Amino acid sequence: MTRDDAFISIADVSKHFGTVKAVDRVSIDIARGEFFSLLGPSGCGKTTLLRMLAGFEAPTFGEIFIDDAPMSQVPPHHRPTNMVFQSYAIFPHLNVRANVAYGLRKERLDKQELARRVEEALGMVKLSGFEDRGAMQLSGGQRQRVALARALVKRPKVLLLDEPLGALDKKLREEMQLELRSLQKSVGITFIFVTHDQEEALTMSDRIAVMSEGQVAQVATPTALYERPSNVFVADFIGQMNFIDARVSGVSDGMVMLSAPGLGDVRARLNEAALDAGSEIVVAIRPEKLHLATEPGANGQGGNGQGGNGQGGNGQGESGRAGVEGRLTAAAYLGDRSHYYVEVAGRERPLAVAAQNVSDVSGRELASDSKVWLSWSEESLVLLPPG
Amino acid sequence: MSERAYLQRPNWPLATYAVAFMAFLYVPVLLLPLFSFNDGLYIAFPIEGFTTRWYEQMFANTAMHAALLNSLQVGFVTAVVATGLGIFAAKAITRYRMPGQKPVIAVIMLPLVIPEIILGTSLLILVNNIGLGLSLVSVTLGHILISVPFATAVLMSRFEGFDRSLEEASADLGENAWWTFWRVTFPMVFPGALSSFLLCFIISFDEFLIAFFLTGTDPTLPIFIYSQLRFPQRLPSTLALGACIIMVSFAVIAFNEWFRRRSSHGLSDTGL
Repeated sequence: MTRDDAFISIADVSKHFGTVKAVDRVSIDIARGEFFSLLGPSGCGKTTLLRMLAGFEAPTFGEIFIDDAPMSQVPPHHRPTNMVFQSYAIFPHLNVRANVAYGLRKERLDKQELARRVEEALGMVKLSGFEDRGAMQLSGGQRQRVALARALVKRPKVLLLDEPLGALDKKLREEMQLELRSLQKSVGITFIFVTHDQEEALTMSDRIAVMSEGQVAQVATPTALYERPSNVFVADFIGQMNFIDARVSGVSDGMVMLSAPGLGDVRARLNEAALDAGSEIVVAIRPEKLHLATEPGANGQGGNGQGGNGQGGNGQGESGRAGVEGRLTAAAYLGDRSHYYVEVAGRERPLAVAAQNVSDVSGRELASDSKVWLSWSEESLVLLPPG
Repeated sequence: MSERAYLQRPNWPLATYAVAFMAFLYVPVLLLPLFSFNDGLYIAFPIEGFTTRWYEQMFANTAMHAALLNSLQVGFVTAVVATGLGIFAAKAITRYRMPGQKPVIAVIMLPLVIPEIILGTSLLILVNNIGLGLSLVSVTLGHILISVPFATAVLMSRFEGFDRSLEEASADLGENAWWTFWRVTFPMVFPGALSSFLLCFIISFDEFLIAFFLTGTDPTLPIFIYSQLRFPQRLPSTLALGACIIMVSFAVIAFNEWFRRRSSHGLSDTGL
C-alpha cells in the first residue's frame, strides 16, 4: 500500500509518559475498510496508540491523519472515530435503548428515525428486542454487543476496539471473532483492533502490526507474519518457533548454504536480506514443519502418521528435504496433536516438534530416549537477522 | 448444628455484646419520646400518666416555629452549597493529577479536626471585622465550612467507585465536558450527592457551637432549645420537639440507606 491511498496515517508518532516511551516513533498506514490489528504483549504501547487515535491521549511527537485531516487539535468528541472499550463502559444508569441512542443527541433526529437507527444497530449485533433491558441485567457478551451497537449507530469512519473479547469465555470469544469479522465486511467501516491474543489477531485481521516496547516490529498479513516473520521478536511472539544460531558458508543461485549447529550443513531459500559468506544469522523453523520419524527414510510412526522423509544422519536429502538424527527427551499428548522435544547433537536446547494425530495413536506412544529422525523441507527454514 | 457453615454457628457471647452495645447507644435517645408523653413537669421516674399536651404546646409556640424555619433554611442552603462544592472538589481530586494534590485534600479536610469552639471564635472575629455582622447568613457560611469536608469525603468515594471510561465513552460518542457531566457524571454520582445533601443538612440542623457564636437575633433550633432549658415549665414541650426530630432523622437515614443500596449497582459492578 502506498502512502497516497492511506485512509489513516500514523506519521512518526511518539508518546512519552515522563521518561517512559510508551509509543516510540510509530508510522503505520491503514487503508479504508481494512480490519487492522495492533498485536503485542501488555505494555507494548498498543492501547496507548489506540487512545491517541480516539483522542484521549495526545502524541508527544508526530501526527495522526484520518481521511487526510490532521487530528492533533481535534478533541475526542469531534473525531470521526468511535471506540469499544475494554470494560465496555456501558452506562449503568441507562437501559439498552438509551445506551445505543446516547451518541445521537446532536443529530436531532425525530422519534421515529431515532428508533429506527437504534433498532438497526441492535439488529446488526443480534440484540433486537433488548431495548428495554437495564444495562445491569445484561451478560458480559450482551454488554459487549451493546457497546458495539452504541459505537456503530454513529456510523463512524473508524471503529476502535480495545481488547473487546478479552473478558469473554473461549467459546463465546471464538463465535464473536467470526461475527465481528463478518460485521466489519458488511458495514465496510475501518476497524482497528487491539489484542494481545495472537490467534485472535490471525483469525480476524487483514493486516497486523506487531508491537514491542513502543515500536512496530512488523506490519504484515497474518500469513506473512506467520510464515515469513522479519525478526526474532515476531517469530517468537507469533506461534512457537525453533531458533538456531547459524553462520553463512556460501550464497548461490537464490539459495544460502548455512552451517547450523544441530542441523548440520543446510540449505535455505534466500529472502530479501543480502547475505555474505561468514555472516551470523538466525535460522528459524516452526515445530509443525519438522517431521518426526522412527527410522531413517521411513514413514513416521511416532504418533504423527504422516511420514517424515529423513535420510539418516546429517546432511542434504533429495527432493529438497533434509534430515537429522536425534533423541526424544519429552512428549506431550494434546489430543488433536502431540508435541515432542528432540535433542540433536551440537545443540543444547531440544528442538520442538508438533505432529497432527491423524489416526488413533493409543498404544503407539513413543518412549522417551528413543532414537528418532527429523526432516524438513528447505523452504520451511526462515532466515532472520540475529536478534 | 454441626451441618451449619462455620460462620453461621450461633455465638452467644458475641450476640449479648451486640445487644448491650445497641442498648447503650439508643436507650438514652428513646427516653426522650417516652418523657414527651409523660403527664408531669419533671423528667423523672415513675411515669405519671399519658398526655399529648406537650405536643399541643409545642405546636402553639410561634417562637419555636420561627427557630425551626431558620434551621430548615440554613440547613437547606448549607446542604446545597456544600454538596455543590463537594462535587467539584471530589471530581478534581479523583479525576485530575495536579501539583500539590495532597496539601489541597488536607486543607479541605482541616475543619474536621479543628475544634469547633476555635472555629466559632475565629469566625466571630472574622465576621465582625469584615463588617458582615451576625445573622443567619453568617451561621450558614460557618455551617458550609464544617460541612464541605463531609460532602467531599462522601462524594470522593462515589467518584472513585465508577469506571473512568464511562466519561471517556461519553466524549467518544460526541458529548463535550458539559454534557458529559450532566448525562453521565452527575447521574452516576447522584446517590452520593443525595447522601451528601442529607448528611450536610443534618450536620447543620443540629449544630450548636458555631451557631452559638454566629447567630444574630434569629436563633436556629438548637440555640432556641438551649435558651428554653432555663425555664423548667417549657422543658417538656422541648422534649416533644426532640422526639419529632428523632423520628424525622430516623426516616431520613432509612431513606438514604434504602436509596444507596438500590443504586449501588452503578459502582464496582460497572466494569465487567
